[in-house]
Amino acid sequence: MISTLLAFVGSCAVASFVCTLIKEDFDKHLLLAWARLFGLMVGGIGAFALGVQLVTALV
Amino acid sequence: MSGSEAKDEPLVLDAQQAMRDRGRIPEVAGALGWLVPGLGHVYGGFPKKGLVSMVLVLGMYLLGLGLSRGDAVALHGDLAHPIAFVAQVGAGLPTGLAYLRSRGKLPGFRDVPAEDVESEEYFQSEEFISRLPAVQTGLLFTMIAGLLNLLLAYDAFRGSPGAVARHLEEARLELRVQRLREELANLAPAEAASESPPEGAPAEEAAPSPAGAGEPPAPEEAP
Repeated sequence: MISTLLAFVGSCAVASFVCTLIKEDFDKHLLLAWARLFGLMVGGIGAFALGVQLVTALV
Repeated sequence: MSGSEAKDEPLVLDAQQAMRDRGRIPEVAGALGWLVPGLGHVYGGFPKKGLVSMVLVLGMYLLGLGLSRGDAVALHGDLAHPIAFVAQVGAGLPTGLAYLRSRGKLPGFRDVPAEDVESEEYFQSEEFISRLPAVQTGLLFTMIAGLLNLLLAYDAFRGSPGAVARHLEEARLELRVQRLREELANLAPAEAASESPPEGAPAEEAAPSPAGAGEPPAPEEAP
């Protein structure tokens, strides 16, 4: 379970950083934009997964 | 041109042309970026961006390959992941090497002989079953790295327009600040000249006090 979570967070971190790097280059906005996208990815995918789990448990 | 005109002028940007002007060929940058993650940016004149993305994407790919002990990239036998391979192809050369390794074409890089991998006993062995979660994680990492590298290669081919736009915008902002400073510097002596009254002119009337502003003057008290 922990290794799955680590893999998920790691994948999201690298993917969001590379995507932000393409858009922002190395400037003062990079870390903030990366954190925003990372949060959005982890939160969005996590919420979707939780939703799927909930629906699966209820049905 | 005034500051407001500079603000309204459209952002004209052709990063690919700028790359050609620097003597770099966008197609070569794209091909290099596909072959080795980050190399296209290094070639295109963005070494920092290229090296950081190389470390991240190649690191992720190699981590996935290491976790699965090379089984994440395969196209033959029961180990084949053809759909995953489509995503892994995005990583170019590392995937080519990993594929050759899976076919036993790279001597010294294979921990399980090819004939053992093809056998049924290998897939039912506890050793293989215990490794399945790691293989899944390896698949995930290599696929994501391959897809990310496609993005990077395309960005290198386009001449990294995001980075160029950011630099252009910063240069424009600096230019605007410089122009505003110049305008302010020109404005200050003119204002000083208009405020100082000419000699012999009557003195300006005293401004009404704030307390009495807008009110009629109070009548003088009777003696």
